[in-house]
Amino acid sequence: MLPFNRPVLILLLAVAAAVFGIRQWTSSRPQELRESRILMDTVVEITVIGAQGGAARKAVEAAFREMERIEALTSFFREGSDPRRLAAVTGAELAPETAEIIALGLKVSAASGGAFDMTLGRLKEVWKIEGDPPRVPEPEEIREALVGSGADALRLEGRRLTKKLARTSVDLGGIAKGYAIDGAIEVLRRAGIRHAVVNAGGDLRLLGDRNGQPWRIAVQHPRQRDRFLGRLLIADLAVVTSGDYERFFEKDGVRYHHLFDPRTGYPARASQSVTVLAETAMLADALATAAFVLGPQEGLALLERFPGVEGLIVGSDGRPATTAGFEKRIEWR
Amino acid sequence: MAVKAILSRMTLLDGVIIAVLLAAIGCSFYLLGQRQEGSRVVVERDGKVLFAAALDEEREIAFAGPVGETALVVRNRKAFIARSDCRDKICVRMGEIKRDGEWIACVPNRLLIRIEGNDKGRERAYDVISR
Repeated sequence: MLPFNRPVLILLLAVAAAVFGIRQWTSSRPQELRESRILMDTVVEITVIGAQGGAARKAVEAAFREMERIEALTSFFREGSDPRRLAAVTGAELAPETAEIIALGLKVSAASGGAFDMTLGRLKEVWKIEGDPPRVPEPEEIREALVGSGADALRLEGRRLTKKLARTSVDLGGIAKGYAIDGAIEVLRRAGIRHAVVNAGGDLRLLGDRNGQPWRIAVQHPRQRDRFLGRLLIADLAVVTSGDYERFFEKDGVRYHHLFDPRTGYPARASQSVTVLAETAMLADALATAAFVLGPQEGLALLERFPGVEGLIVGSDGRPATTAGFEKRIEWR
Repeated sequence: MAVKAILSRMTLLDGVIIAVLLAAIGCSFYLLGQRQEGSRVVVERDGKVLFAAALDEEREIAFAGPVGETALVVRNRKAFIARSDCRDKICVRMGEIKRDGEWIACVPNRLLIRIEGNDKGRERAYDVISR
């Protein structure tokens, strides 16, 4: 006959409770709040860790609103924005935010020998990379669109911007998104949030670490959609990737993408993708575009000149090249 | 007879302990079952979820928006936009998504289609993708 043994039952219960407890404890993740919006022509996702409830939700909402505000000031497609106000005149007084963006943009433009260019509005218009159906403009159209553009086409004194020609079209596409990401991070920080990610379509900035651990940032492979080049283990930094695979069309076997070489007016051919780490997303954004145009050799030299900046450039041959500091932070796949 | 003999020796406390054990076993099965559930496709507009479904259920569903309809297809554990009334068709050209965190956006129709993995049970190797 089976003895009815209470101590054995209690032991079983204790073991079950312990197993369950250990599993819960080891798989427990910090509380996470994740929200996304369509903003700046992309999907912006804000993740906050270690804070939940009304206050965190409010902070995230305020961060989205800040990005909307910056978009309204800086997007050419918004009525009343600074680039729009500048469209038909040779000069104007800018909002302080726009002036700050253009000041840094001019610095990157000068340092990169014009590879970063905020005056390609007309060129982007004739290319219509995202048009349907897309087409390759005639060389004459491209030459015409480049008139009045270039590193010397803009002059900023205080908040007053002067354009070389009235037709010079200011386009802050390669830098304003970064500034908006920085703005969102600042709003979260002021609201007392200590661990967060603001991710605007793959361009992102980290606030703090991931509750005592570094954030793990996968870097997209430029040619294989399902693969990553590697994983960055970092905190408190911005990561911006620019690639020819983001917005493009193909015609007669040639890939035409959205990152233009200001010297030729055609999509830049020296790189497949660039990933830049910097303290601000605005700087990372501008430098990623510039380094993409310059290609691995000159591009890395440019990144090395900015303190605290690291980067990875995948050349047109598919080979990755990095700054010394980047190599230390990436786990290759 | 053995069962009857055991039952006759059981006290109320034994009953409680056995009930708790059975409940724990039940909970474990329930939680394991949940973890085996696949990823989901989630459709949002302006931060609000319009639709969510398992990625392994095939379906086609159209969402109306400011510029017309955008049709989402879920097939072979992948989601893609089959057609859309918007001008540039960027969402259609964004192709298929299947990985946790991947998304397609139709900006003119203010639609965001996301894959949400079931990562409660398995640890993901990254937090965010830089692309």
